[in-house]
Amino acid sequence: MGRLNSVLGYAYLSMLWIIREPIWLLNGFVWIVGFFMIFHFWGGSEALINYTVVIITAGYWSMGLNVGGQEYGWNKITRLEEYYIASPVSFGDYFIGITMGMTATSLIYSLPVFLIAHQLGVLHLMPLVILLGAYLVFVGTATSVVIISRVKNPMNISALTNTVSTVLSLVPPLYYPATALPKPLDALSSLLPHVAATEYVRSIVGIGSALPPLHNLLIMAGWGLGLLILIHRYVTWGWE
Amino acid sequence: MIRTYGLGKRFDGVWGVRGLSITVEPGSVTMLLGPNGSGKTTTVRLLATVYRPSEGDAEVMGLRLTRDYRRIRRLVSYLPQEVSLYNMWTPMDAVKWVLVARGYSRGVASSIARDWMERLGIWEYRDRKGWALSGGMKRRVLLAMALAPESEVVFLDEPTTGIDLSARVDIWRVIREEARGGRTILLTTHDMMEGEALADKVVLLHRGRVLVEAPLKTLLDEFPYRYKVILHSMPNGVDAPVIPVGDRYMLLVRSREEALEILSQAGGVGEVSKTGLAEYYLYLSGGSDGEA
Repeated sequence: MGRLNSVLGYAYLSMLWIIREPIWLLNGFVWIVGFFMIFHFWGGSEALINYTVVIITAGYWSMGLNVGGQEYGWNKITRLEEYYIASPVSFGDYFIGITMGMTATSLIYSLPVFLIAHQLGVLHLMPLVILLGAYLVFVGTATSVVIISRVKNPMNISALTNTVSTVLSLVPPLYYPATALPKPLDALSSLLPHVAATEYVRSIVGIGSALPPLHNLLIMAGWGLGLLILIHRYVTWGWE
Repeated sequence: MIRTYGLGKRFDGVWGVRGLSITVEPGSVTMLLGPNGSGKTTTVRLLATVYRPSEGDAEVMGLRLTRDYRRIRRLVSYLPQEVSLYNMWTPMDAVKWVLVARGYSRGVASSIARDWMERLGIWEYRDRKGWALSGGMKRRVLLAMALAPESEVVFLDEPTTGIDLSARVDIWRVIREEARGGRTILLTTHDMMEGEALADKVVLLHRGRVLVEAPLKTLLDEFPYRYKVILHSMPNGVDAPVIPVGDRYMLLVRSREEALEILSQAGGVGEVSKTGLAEYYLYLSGGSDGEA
């Protein structure tokens, strides 16, 4: 029970920004609904189905990369990390707690998406998309943690994570075809985990994936495994 | 008990502390005293396992720091000096949920959190967000976060910084009660008055090294200069340690009679008062601070 409590404790602490300031949710909901209207206007129901998948894959990846990274970075800046280090809690429990908190926050943000998915008749896709979303929260958070752990002074961490997550959330073929990019960049974007997850869902439901499912699964597995190795190798929990 | 054996930490070729060998008795308050840059925070970070020692070792409740640091973490809690509370957190969030994060069930954590918030006078502010709390209130919340876990050893790095005197006295009372209850407390401060009010034992640090380590009473009893005279000008022929204080002079003397005689030689312009830890520190450090 102790370790489970630890994980839940950190999950809750990492969600306090939204529990105490739920106005952030309104901001997210307006964003989601607004873009659904834009996609519906320009692309009809096919664009909407695509967006239903992408808003979750790219959104969950961003939640991990940006907000999960900021949670870790701000705990360093505020010295709360030192408080946590001098306690029975392991880095693993702390990291899983943040990842769970970010996943739960993402799920709350996704509520309008589920309603729209129901209207579009693709609600059955949601369990798979959410599962991949949870993986992307983990990958996003882990990526940020590995980078931030190497930064001596993470004071500008919000600017860094915001920019990186925005850029990576806009790469094709998430919202537009990969042909928009020069060939080498197109190949690079296909190596990103949220692109692979999105393309995997598209290939499963036959909505225009350019990449075979095995390629996407290998990319996702590679990121997961690689980040676990990097965390083990480079991320310290005190004792520096 | 905590013992350190030649403990040292080096940062990019510069020693933060070096050759630190001190003992912290169980069920007591030991104060690391010294000015900014003297190595107090580095020492606490080493013992709280935030830093890995560059040399030496320590023993914390029978466990070796360099070998058992993960097990030591189960026994300690720590209030970092510059730790800050998130503005959207309430005191209840902070105290209760960090206990849950340490492995306590929610029910037990709620009960302990309430107890500590009542003891530290923040219960009525429990649901107020951090941005609406005063600096002193925030500091009490942070102190509750450090004291609420049932840890045997507590490290408090300047716990009363930014708190007014009456609130500090309340906090000193709570810390003394915890030591009497058996907890081993290592506390840092640059406030010599706090040292005199709280400490069972004092470790004076200067530029990363121990100047003196002794029980407070012994230290004050053995300091031969019981009085000080503050003068605006130096009389000739006075044989006493002198610490320049801007355009004034602090003379350390052994007795009140001697102090009054010097004051008389100086034309009666000045003040005589008793000495304490601050004067002892200035005497040992030659009147300079520890800024590197």
